[in-house]
Amino acid sequence: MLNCYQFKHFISRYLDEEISFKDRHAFEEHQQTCPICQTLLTNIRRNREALQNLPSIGVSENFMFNLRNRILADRNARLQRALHQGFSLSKVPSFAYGFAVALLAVVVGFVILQSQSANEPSYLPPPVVQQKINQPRPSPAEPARNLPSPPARQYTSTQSQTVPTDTVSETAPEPANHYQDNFQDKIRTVKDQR
Amino acid sequence: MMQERFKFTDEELIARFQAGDEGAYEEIVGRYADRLMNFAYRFVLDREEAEDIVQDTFLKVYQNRHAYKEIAKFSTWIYTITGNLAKTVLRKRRNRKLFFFSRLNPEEEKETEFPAPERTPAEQLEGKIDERLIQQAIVKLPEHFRTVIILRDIQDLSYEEISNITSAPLGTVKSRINRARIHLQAELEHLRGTR
Repeated sequence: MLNCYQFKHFISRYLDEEISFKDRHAFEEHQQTCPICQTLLTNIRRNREALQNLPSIGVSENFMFNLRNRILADRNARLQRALHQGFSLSKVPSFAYGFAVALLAVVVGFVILQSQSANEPSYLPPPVVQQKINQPRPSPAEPARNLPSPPARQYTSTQSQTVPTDTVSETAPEPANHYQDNFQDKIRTVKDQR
Repeated sequence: MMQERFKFTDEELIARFQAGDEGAYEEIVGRYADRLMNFAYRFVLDREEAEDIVQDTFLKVYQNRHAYKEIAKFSTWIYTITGNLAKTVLRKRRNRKLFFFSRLNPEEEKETEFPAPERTPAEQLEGKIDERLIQQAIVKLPEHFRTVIILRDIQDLSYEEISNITSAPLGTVKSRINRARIHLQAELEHLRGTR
């Protein structure tokens, strides 16, 4: 069985029918034995009914008209504000500042790297090429390798193309001399190997 | 239960309004204006202030239409806005009163009390509660009790809805409603005794 304190705790649940069967039984049992709690329950029930029966208060007739005016006024005020204020730093979102700083850091870093690479000598070939260059040349004592012999026809043709200097025109193509130089080098190499 | 009469639910209407349908907004206003007015009036007990609160509520709905996400019921959202605005009005009024009272003598302060309404013999006989008396008792309740008792007994909202509007756990809402009813009964007895 409930005491008066517990009874008070269950009043609203009892009125709203949100009480379990067991608690309802105990509640009603106490209600029958305690006239003070019974009066309290009756009063609260009556208050609840009075609240539910309170007349509904509606909005005035020109409510919608006033509301439309307020919406229009608010819209105009926003437009005016936007037109008059123009650009201000306060409107820039905070993440934009972060982005700008990051971009600046990237640009500065790029410029620094560029200046450093400009100070270094740029005529040095890459390390792989340098290694090839530094390799010792084969000595003449070593046995001759199976080097591919230069094409005979080309060799002879190159040899036979001895053009007198006076007949060489000034507009003679440069690659011809270059071709001859290359073959001269090759001839020297083959002779060294022998 | 109320939405059965309507073609669209509140959530569908606000979705249409978010998509740019102004007619949907007007329908929302039509549905909620009186309900919110009743809620605000019982809260602040002043018709003009209550209407201002409701207008502000709809203006906020218009401005912040995209803030509503369909994770909660639309009614919960709009009642929360109205409740917050009503609390702001009460706070301002209290501050004004404090400022005003600080300039008054204690004797003058007593004159600002509510005049006790007369109760007819027929009402006394029936045990019927005068509307003004009960309204006075509601106004005298602490804010958190007032909110839940209006939402539950006048607006007929469920415990779950009240829990969402007040952002209080369900158990807290249940016990708060119970204490609010007991408190209201005590206020009414007090008011009857002062007559």
